[in-house]
Amino acid sequence: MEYYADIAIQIMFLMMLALSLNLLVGYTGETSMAQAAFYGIGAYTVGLLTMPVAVAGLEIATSSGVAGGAGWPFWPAVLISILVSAAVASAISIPALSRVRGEFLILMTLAFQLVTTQLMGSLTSITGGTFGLTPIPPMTFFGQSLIKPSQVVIVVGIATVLTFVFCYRLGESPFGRVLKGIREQETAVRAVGKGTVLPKVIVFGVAAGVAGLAGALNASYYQVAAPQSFNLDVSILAIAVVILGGVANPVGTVVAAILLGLLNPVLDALVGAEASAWRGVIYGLALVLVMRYRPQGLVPEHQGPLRFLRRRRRRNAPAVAAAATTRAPRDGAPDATPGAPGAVPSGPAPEVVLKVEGMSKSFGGIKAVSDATFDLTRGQITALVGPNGAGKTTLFNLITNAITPDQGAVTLNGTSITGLSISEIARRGMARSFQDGRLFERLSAIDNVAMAIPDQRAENPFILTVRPLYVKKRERAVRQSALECLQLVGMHADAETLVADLSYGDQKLVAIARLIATGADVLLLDEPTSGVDPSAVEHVIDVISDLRAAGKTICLVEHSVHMVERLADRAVFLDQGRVLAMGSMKELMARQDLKEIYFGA
Amino acid sequence: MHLISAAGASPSLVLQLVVSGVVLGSFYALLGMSVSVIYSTTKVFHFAHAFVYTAAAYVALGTASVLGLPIVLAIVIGLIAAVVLGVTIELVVYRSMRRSGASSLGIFLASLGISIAGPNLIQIIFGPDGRNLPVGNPTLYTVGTVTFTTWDIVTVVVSWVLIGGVLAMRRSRWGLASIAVSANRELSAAVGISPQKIYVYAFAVGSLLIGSAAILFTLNQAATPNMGLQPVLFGFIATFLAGVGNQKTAPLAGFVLGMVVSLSGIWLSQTFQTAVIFGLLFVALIVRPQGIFRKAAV
Amino acid sequence: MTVSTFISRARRFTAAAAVAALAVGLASCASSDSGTAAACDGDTAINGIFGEGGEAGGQGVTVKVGMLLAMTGSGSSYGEVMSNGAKLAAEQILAACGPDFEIAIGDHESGSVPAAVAAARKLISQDGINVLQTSFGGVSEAIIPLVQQNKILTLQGGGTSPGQIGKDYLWNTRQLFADPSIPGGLAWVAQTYPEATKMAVVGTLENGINAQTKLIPEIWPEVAPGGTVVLNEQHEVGLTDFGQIIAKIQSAEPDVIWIFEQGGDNATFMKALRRAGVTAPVVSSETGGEEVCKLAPEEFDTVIALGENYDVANPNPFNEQFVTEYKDAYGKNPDIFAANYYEEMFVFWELVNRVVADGGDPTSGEQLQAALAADPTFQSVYGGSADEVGTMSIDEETHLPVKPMGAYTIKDCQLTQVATITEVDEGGDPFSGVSK
Repeated sequence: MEYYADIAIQIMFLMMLALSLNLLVGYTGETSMAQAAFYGIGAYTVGLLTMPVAVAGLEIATSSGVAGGAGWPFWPAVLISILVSAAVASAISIPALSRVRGEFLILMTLAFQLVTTQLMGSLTSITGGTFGLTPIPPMTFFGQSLIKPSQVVIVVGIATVLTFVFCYRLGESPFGRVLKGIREQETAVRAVGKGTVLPKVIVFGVAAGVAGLAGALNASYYQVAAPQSFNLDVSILAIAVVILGGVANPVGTVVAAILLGLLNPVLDALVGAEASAWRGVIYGLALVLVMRYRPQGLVPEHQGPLRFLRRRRRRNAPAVAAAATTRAPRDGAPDATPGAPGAVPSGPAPEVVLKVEGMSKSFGGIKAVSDATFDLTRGQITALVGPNGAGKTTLFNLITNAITPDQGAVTLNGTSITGLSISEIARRGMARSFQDGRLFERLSAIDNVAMAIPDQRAENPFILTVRPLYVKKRERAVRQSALECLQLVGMHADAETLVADLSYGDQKLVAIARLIATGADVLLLDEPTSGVDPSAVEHVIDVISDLRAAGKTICLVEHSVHMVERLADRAVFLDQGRVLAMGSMKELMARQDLKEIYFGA
Repeated sequence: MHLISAAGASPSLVLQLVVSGVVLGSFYALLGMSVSVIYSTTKVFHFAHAFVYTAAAYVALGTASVLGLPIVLAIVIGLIAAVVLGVTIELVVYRSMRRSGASSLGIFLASLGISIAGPNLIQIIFGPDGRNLPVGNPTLYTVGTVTFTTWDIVTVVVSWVLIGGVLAMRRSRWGLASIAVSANRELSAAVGISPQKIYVYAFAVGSLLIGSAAILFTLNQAATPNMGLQPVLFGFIATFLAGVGNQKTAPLAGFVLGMVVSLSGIWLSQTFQTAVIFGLLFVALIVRPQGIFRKAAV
Repeated sequence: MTVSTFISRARRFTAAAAVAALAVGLASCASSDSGTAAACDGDTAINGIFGEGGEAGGQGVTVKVGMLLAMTGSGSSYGEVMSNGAKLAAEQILAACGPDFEIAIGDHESGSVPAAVAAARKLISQDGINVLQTSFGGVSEAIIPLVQQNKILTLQGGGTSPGQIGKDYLWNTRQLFADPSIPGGLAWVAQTYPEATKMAVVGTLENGINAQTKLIPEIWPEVAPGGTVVLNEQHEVGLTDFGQIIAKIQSAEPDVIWIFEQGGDNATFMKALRRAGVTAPVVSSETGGEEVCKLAPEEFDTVIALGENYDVANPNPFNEQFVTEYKDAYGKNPDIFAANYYEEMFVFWELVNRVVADGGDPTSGEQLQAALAADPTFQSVYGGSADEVGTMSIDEETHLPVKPMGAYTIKDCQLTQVATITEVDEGGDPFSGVSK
């Protein structure tokens, strides 16, 4: 009985560690190799806080000569452990995450993990060195000291369930949606006006806080905190659990933690002495095989019992049910853009909304854009045209500061936006689409669009925790708005479909819906119809005309002369990064020289 | 606690540490070159390099002590094993994953899996205890107060000859092709360079270098199943400090790293050495994520 | 209390121990009747020393003994010899009509605290052990709360650390690593190398840290005129590149080097040191070590080991039959660890007998500990003479034993004793601890 309780406790510690790590690896797509370090920081913190205050005359309490602790009661110490782990993680992640991504982050977290373990081993007067900090008082629960595994298992069990619910809800919340967006397309999240550094710093802290809780419980259960319990092997084991179980799916993490956790006792019985080596071989190979043949893991992201329940509930939600009709023909389009705050009616006089002046950029001596000057008029569609390599997309990138220009100024509604970040520009009312879509592929269409809806206080994880009902209500409204945006492009029937499962043309429509959802007045569309099949092209053209009708100012990069002629009020002709001419498409195409440049001589 | 060394910076200590630093730095330079050859060309975060390192050492000492083959032959077999293992990992695991559209993170995780499974397998076969390559004791040379051994000279010479060889190869057809692939994979495929072949070439060269490093290490020290993690990590640190894709400066970064590690001994106890290295990496990556030696893209 | 006071306290108990041993011998002679079970005849060599067994000798009682050992990892050779010693003892005791000691082994993976705690929990809750034999320093400290909460009498014979001194339910049959031998050892070094003044100390951050950072710097200047510690370097376990530390040694030019290295670290350090041409004598607080012999046999031969050691050639009859039987069973000589875990099993037997004699429950850790504390002296393979079985006594307060210590030269991995070292009283003549 006690033995099985002990195994259950060990598995649950692994589970808590992996559930928290899944927030990073699974939802945010950032690999941390330092999860065990934060686990350890929690353990040492609780140890130092709860150990009795040193009494003179009892110096040799431990080998290391750790004099004693702060003599705190258990639960306040646990709270501090969580906070300390979270604070350390946030502190190191602020510079790391804003500057560093992918492999750099792996290397840095690896470094942090190794330094932490080494310091745990060498700062003997604080940590007890390699022997560890001991004896740490056992945990208490309602005044009762818990020593037996069969008692501890209840507390750890409650903590694990809470961790599961917390991680699951956070992952499926609007905040989780932002995280998944960062994982799928970080630039696209910024392009719809959301910062990505803060959510990453927060999730790093939250994940470390949960690991710290696990560490605090671990230390008071084992009554010792030693470096080996929190070393790189433990971090890697947690990664293996997340990957084997399936990223961004807490159910998978639970399953994998049980499977890998049970390996220990089973191998002990089977191979005895070599159990730990065999365990390494087995989960190492499992990691290789899973990544090779089933990268989505045992329980993939969009599967599992909980996911099924959630979807059913949503299907039954009245708002969605009402909207879930077949794709409407475009003729009966709604008269205004709903859900977006900036549905400004077209003013009487032509008004310059965006001014681009003297924009220049060279790449290694080649002038990609040179002294480009033009402006956009409210309620009009302006097309950037020109042959391949004329610098059209580069110009988009320069205007939105995705690439820093060498020279030039951009003014939006009379205010300079030169040098502002792409997300700030989006918040000020100018948003762009990407030639290659940059959709969040492993998210549903409606989640893609919902991501772009501005001012979502529900995306704040703090509000999420303290005001769950408000978040629920707000989220319902957001989804309603998103659904309406999808309806505008006629994609509402596919709202719950994963974008990866949509046709290319449909994906382009979702991208436009996402752009609409930002509520921006000025929309920069990069080849909205490229790769879209002819029947759908008409549909896209209708959508864009509707947007103009709703008062949006639109600038589009487009190849098809036909389409530009039909849509654009004005065209800017670019060649080799220079603005050669401006005027209606008809006028431009009447000029032989331009025609030659455009179609080739 | 004696965290700060009381030794002080006597001239003889500094000289000796400089000499140790040259040896250690040359070794790290070789590690940096090895990791950089693979990483800059293929962009694979090849963590399984640690297993290739360990395998080279164990194959060499296995053939020498179990089969009783002459030591030179055993070393050659160890190096061949490293190359074969490295290329096999590329062909069997990474290439097929790339084909099925795996992300670089996915490939890293598979690599991580290999780096866990491999050394544990070696532990099951050979046991966890350290093992020596059956080579004799080196000769000791004394110049003034400074001492060094044959193996120190061998380490420095072999490291730089190999690094020089790889850098010279950059002028060759293969070398130019791999520079092209690392600069732009799609474009080089378009001009008729097969990235697949270049990747295999990069893994072969990188594995030969890491295998050589493993053998150099085993001349002096006992091999253990977990011997691979630290050197590969240092190789990556050198690569990232040099600036990713900057093959020419990776050995330089490795050398500087070795020097810093060694000279830190003037003031610091060994127990803080690793913390110093990683602290430096930490600061360097934050302050100069493009690499400390990064000039224009190569 | 300080280290020196417990050393002196331990010493005072030595005298009392000899008297107590006599009493034990008499007690075991008295228990000579009772019918014997089929499996034993009460006529083995063991019966000659410990009496005939039978009911008063705990026959029919089953005691579950847990062993927490390094079965895997770098120290697995220790785990092997420790379990060999204990198994041999359990067989001999059963054959001598004593209790049935059932052994269950848990693996701490050569010092991994989490593995040790998990294994200890399994031993206690799954295997239902009544008593425990533990090993290694750190892991044994980590399980102290566990054995105390579960009232498991625990004997430690291979890795006593300061954190295991005077702990309820934990009794040591091996001296504290390094510390007790430091005063006498330093005095011996001062005598043997009269010109030596500059000492360098190198070691890992493990058992010997108190000796490294406190005892040697304090005592060396006292015993060696003009003595100074010119270098005191600690490093992490498993270090492969000693270049920096050796550069510091070369620059400090010590006359003698005292090391606290174990297993692979010992081999790596000694190889690197000698290869760098450092010829200064090396004194090591580690007296055992198969690993170092395998990896650096030549370099190890230049070391002087200083500390507690077990003498295979001790003619004490208990030891003689032990060595013979051990060789028969395992094909090689027992070492200190085989000996300690062997004789610990006989300690358990003696305690079972005492509890049975008092009409108590011989599987109760509480009662076994009370029996131990009442008279902590036991027959031993250490000490004694050709005619007389040796004794070991454990200090009631510190829970530390007094065992013979010496200085040993090494040839082909065999230790030869060159001096005897005894513990030195605080303030006493340091040289009184040395005899040749």
